[in-house]
Amino acid sequence: MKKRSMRLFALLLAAMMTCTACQAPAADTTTAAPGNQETKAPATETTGAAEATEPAPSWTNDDDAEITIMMVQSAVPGADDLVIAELEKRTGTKINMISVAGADYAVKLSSMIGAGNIPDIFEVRDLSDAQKYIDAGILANVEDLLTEVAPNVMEETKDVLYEIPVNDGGVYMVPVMSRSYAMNLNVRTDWLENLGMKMPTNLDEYKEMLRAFTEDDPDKNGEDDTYGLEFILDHVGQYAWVSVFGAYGIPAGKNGSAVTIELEDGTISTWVKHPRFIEAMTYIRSIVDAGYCEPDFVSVPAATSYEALWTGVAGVMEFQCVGPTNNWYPGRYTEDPLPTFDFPIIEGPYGDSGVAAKYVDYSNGFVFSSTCKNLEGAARIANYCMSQEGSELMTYGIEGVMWQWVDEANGKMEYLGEYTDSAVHRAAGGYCHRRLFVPSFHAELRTLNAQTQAGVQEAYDNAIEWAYIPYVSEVYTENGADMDQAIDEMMAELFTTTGDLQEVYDRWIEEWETLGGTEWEAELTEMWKEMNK
Amino acid sequence: MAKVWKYLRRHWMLYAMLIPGLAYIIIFKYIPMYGLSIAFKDYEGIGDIANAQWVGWENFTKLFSKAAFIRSFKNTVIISFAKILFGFPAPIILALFIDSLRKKGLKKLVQTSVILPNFISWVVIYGLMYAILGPSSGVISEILTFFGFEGKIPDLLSSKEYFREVIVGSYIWKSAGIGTIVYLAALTGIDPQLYEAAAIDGAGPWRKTWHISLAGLRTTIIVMLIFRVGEMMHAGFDHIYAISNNAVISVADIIDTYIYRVGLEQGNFSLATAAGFIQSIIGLVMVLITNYVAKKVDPDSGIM
Repeated sequence: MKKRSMRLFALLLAAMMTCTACQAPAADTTTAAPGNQETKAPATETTGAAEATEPAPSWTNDDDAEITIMMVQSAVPGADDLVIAELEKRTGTKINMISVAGADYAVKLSSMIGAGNIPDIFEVRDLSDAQKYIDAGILANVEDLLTEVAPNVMEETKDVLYEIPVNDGGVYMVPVMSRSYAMNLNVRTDWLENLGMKMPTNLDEYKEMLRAFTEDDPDKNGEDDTYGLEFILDHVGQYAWVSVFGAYGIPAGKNGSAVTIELEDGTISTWVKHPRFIEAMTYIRSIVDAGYCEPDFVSVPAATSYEALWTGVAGVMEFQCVGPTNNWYPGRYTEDPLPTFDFPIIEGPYGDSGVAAKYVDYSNGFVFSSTCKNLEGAARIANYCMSQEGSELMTYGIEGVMWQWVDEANGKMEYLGEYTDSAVHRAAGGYCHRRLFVPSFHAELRTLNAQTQAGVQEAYDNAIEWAYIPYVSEVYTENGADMDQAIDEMMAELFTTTGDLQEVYDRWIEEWETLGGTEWEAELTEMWKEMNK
Repeated sequence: MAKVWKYLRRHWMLYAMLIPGLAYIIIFKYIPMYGLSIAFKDYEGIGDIANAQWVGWENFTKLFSKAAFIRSFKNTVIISFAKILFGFPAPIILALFIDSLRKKGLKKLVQTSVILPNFISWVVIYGLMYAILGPSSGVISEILTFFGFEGKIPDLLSSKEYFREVIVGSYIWKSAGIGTIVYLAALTGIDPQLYEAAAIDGAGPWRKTWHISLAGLRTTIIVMLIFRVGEMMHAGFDHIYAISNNAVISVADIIDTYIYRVGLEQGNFSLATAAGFIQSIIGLVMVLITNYVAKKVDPDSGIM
C-alpha cells in the first residue's frame, strides 16, 4: 500500500517536472527582448503575396476590435456614457473606457501591465515609467501612423513632440498639451468692501487683511465666526501658501521634487532649498501662530476645508481660480448674496511676486500599446479629441443634446434640460474624459467666464520660472518616495513646531541629502548643463 | 489503496463538496506564491517574472538599509502589539456582557449596535473622529466651551504623543462588535445546566463567568488569538492610510503603508514583495510559537 502510494506520488512529481521543463523555453521565446525600442505590432502581414500587390499599412487596423482606454478621470461617469458612445460613432471605433481616480491610477496601471493586460491607449504620468515600457517593447512607435492618420495631433504638438525625451527615435508618447492652471490667491472682495479695505499688494497688507477677516467681523453678522485663510497641511506648496513663497521669489511645488531650482552655485535642487525659504516660513508661521487661518489645518479633512470657503467661514483660499469663480460658482456657495472674489498679486520684500510657472508637462501623455489590434482606430480617436469639436464633446458632451452655444464667439454656452444638474451631466460622461488627448486651447478654457479667464492669464503672466528638467532621474526612481516623504514631514514639523525653524530645517535637509538628495542634485545638475549646452 | 478508494467512493459526495474550497485555496493562495520569487529578482512590473534577473538577497539588504523601512517595522510591531493587548480582550468582554443580558429585545439591540461600526469605512470614521475630536469645532470642544472652558483642547489627530492611542481606540470601536459573533456563538454552546448547577452551589455572576463562560470559551479564545497573532505584521493599511497625516506619520507609518508608497506608487515591485515576504515569514513564526505555547498550556487547544 505504502509502496504503491509512493509510486503514484513519484509519477505525479515526474509529470509535473516534465510539464515545467516543457514550458520554460516557450516562455523565453514569447518575451520581448529588453532594450528593443522598435515597434513590432503590425498585425497585417507584409510578406508573401502582399508584396506583389499594394503595400499593407504598417499598423493594425481591425475595426471590430475594441480599443481599451485607461486614463485618470476628471469625474466618474455612470453606466450609460453618452459621450463615449458618441465618440465611437464619430471615430468609427469600439471603445472600452476604464475610469480610474488619480490616487489609484499608478497602482491600477501597474497591476494591469504586470498581469499582461495592457490597455490599448493609456495615460503615462512619469517618464521613467514610459521609458520602462518602451524598453520592454510594450509601446508602439506611432510616428508614421500619426503623420498619416492624425494631422491634428501632429499640428497641435509640433513644438514639443520631439522635445520629449522618450520620443528620441520615434513617437511613443503624445503629451497632454493643456498646461495645468497656475494658482491664484482668491480673496473675497465683498468682505473687503464691508471692512472698507483695499486689495492687499504686499505682505504687510496681506497679513493685515487676514487679521481683519478673522477679528473684525467681515460678514457683519455680529458673530465671531470667520477667519482669514483656509488651507490644509497636505496642500502646502501645491496650493497653499504658494503666493507667499512666490513673494519671496520661491516657486513652490506639490512635494520636494515637483519643482526644481538652480541655486547660486549652479546646483539644481529642490525648491525648499531656496535661500529665502526660512524667511518665508517665518512670515507664514507669524500668520499661523496669530490664528488668522484654518485652526485645524493638520487634521481637517480636505472636503471640510473647501466647505469653509463655500459657507462663508474663510475669506481667502489659494487655488486655481477656475474653482472659486467658475466651476463652483454659484452652485457650491450657500450665502445670499453670493460672495465675490478677485485675485491680488502679493509683492515680497525683494520685489518678487507670482507663483511657479506651469509648463507643458513632458512627463504626462498618452501612449499606444504595441498589442493594440486597431492602432489606426486609436489614432483616429487621438486626432478627433485634439480638434476643437472633439474637445467640446469630451468636455461638455453632445452639442444640442447636453449643451448649446449662447454666444460662440465669446465662449458662452449653456447646459440643456436635465444636464443643468452637474451630477446628471457627469453621469452621462460630460466632463469625465476631458483630458483625453486634450489640445492646448481646450473647450473648458474657451468657455470660462471673463473674470476667470483673466485670473488664469494673470497667474500665467506672473509666473516664476524654474529649472524644468524632463529627463528621468535614476536616483529619484530608486529613492524618490523616501526623499519626498522627508520633505513632507519637514513641512509638517515646520508648521507645528514650537522650536527653532532653522534647526528643524537643517535637520531634515541633512536627512533628505542622506536619503539620496545629494546624488539627485548631482544627477540633475549634469542634466541641466547638458540641456543648456 | 483499495480501502482508500472504497472509502472515497462511499463518501464521494462529501469529498465533492470539498472541491470548490480546495480549488479556491490552490488558485488564489498557493499558485500566487510563485510571485514571491519577485523578492529575489530585479522585476520592474512588466513581462514574465520568470525572465527577471535573480539578485539573491539584494532587495532584503536594501530594505534593511532604509531608515524609513526600519521605522515602519518598529511602528508595525508597536501598533499591532497594542491592538492585540487592548483590542483582543475587547470582543470577549463585550460578548460576555451581551450574553449576560436577559431581555431578548435589548440583547438584539445591543448586539446590532456594536456590530454596525464594522460596516463603516475608515474614511467616514475619520470624518466622525474629526467631528468629535476636532480642537476648534469638534463636539468635545463645543461642549467644553458651553461649560465655560476657554482654552484649546489638544489636537489628538495631529499629536505624535497621542496618535497611537487614537489608532488603538478607533480600532477597538470599529472591530470589537463584529469580533463578538464568534464568542457569542461559542457561549450559546455552553450547557445552561452548568449555570443552574453553579447557582445552586452558591456561585455569583463573577464566579459563573470565570468558571463556566470563560472556561467554555478557552479553546475559541486560543484559536482566535493564534489567528490574530498570525496577522501581527499587518497593522491595518486602510485604517492607518485613512486617518494619518504627515504630522504623525513618524509614529504611524507601518510596513503596509510603506509598501504602498515605495512599491506601488513608486513601482518598485521587488522591494515591496521583499517587505511583504518578511511580514509573512514573521507572521508564520508567530503562529507556530503561539500554537506551541497553547499546546503546552492545554493539549486540546491550538490549530495543528
